[in-house]
Order: sequence, then C-alpha cells, then structure tokens
Amino acid sequence: MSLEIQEREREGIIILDLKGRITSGPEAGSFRETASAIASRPEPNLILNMAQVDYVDSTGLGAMVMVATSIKRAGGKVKLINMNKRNIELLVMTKLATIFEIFNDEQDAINSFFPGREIHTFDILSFVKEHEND
Amino acid sequence: MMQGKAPDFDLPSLDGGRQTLDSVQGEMPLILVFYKTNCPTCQFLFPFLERLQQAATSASPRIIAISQDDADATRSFNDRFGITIPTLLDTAGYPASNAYRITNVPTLYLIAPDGRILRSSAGFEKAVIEELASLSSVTVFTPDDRVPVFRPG
Repeated sequence: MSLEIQEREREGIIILDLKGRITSGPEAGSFRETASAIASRPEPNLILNMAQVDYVDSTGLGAMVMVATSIKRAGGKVKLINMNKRNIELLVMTKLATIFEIFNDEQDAINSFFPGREIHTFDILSFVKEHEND
Repeated sequence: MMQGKAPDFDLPSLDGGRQTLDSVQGEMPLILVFYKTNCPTCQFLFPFLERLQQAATSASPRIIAISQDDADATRSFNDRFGITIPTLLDTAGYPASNAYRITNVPTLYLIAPDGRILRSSAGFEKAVIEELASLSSVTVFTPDDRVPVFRPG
C-alpha cells in the first residue's frame, strides 16, 4: 500500500501524518477507515498533515470529503496543513477549498480549535492570484 | 487536464534506464497513457491499447504507458494482460502525474511531435480509441467486443 498513516495528538487534537498517495484502492480505503474510527471518539477534532502526500486523485478527494463529513457529524472539525501547490490547486479547481480550513503551520491549526488564540490562516485568494499565470 | 505544451518528465523505465519526453518522442505523435494496476477501467482499456500496439507501424503514433505503481505490480499487470507497450514508472513523488494534472486514471494524452497536446481523455472513451486507431489506419474493436461508449476511470 502506498499510504502510510501515523497518528499522534497535541493538546487533545488528533493529527494524522499522511505519507504517500491518497488514491482509489486500498489507500483511500485505509484513510477512510482510520478517520471513521476517529469519528467514533468524543470530540474528534482532526488535523491532516499533508506534507508528505505527493499525489491525490479524484477518489482521494472524495475520501477527504467523506472524512470531513463524518468528523463534522460527530461534532468535530477537520483542518489541513502543509498542502503542496498541486494539492491546493486540486482543492481550488474542485471548489473543495471552501469546506476545508487550510494552514501552513501546525501550531496555527491547533490554535484554531481554541477560541481566543491568535492564528494565521492560509490565504487561498492570494495563492490563486500568485499562481494564476502558471 | 493539461493543455498547451506537454510537460517534460524523466522517469525510470520498467525495462531499465530512464526516459524523458524528448527521448520517447519521434516524428509521429505520441500517446501517453497514465494508469494504475488496480484500476478496473485501466484493466479494461489496456488490451485494446495493446491491439493498437500490435498493429503499429513506423507511421503510427508511439504509445508509452506511465504506471503509478512500482515495478513488481506493473510487471504483474503487464504480464496478466499481455501488455508489451513500453512502460515508465511514476512513483516516488508522482512527478509526471502531478505535472500532467492527472486526477483520474486512465488518462490519455495525444502529443504532437513538437510537444503540443492535441487531445486528452480521462476514463475509457470508445470514440477516442477509434480516433487513435484511425491514425494508424487500424480497427481496434471487433463486432464481438462488448464495448461501452464511455466508462469512467
């Protein structure tokens, strides 16, 4: 299988470090299963660390949406960190950027779960403007 | 999918060595096909592409397959389906799949000798395969083939 999933926790927030590809087949399946197990826990707030995700296909995008939906239904939220340019392009192109909060920094993503903490969100409009001629 | 100029790549070949876009291009158009071994639509498509490959002459477009799986899985796929199409491996970091903005497999690009993308297609499109076959003046589908007009990847 080409997707490794490592789970850790910081300040009560679950962080999944993903490595490899999120694509149709066992990769998207194991990703959904892991997230489904997390959704059954109390307050399942989740950060997906995409730093080492080098390829996402349409099924992988669908899996990410399913994960976000199941976590939301369970009363939690899913946030993304360390997205590469291609993966951000995919979210923008499919208009899925509106359902995920994206951060460059893990601490900012953690802080976003706590009211009153200072955060720096990822400015997707700036990203689109900077890359519109690529 | 990509339009305009086809991005360059530098990928290992299943048979050893490395290939770039330049090195696989010739005087005829190039057909690049991205695939994954466990993709049912790829498994459906490739035997028809192999018919094209078998009928190819020096005046035919060259077909290059780009697998998103490792050498063992790719070799197993090619053996299982009798594929002799030259195959490159796009694995670590998926540089070619990302450069060609692949979101579904199979995805197929027809590239002119000067590097322009002439045609692209995701999934199985019967009309596209027939169009490619017409470039080689061959018939890919027989009356006995039960082939849908389109099958998503």
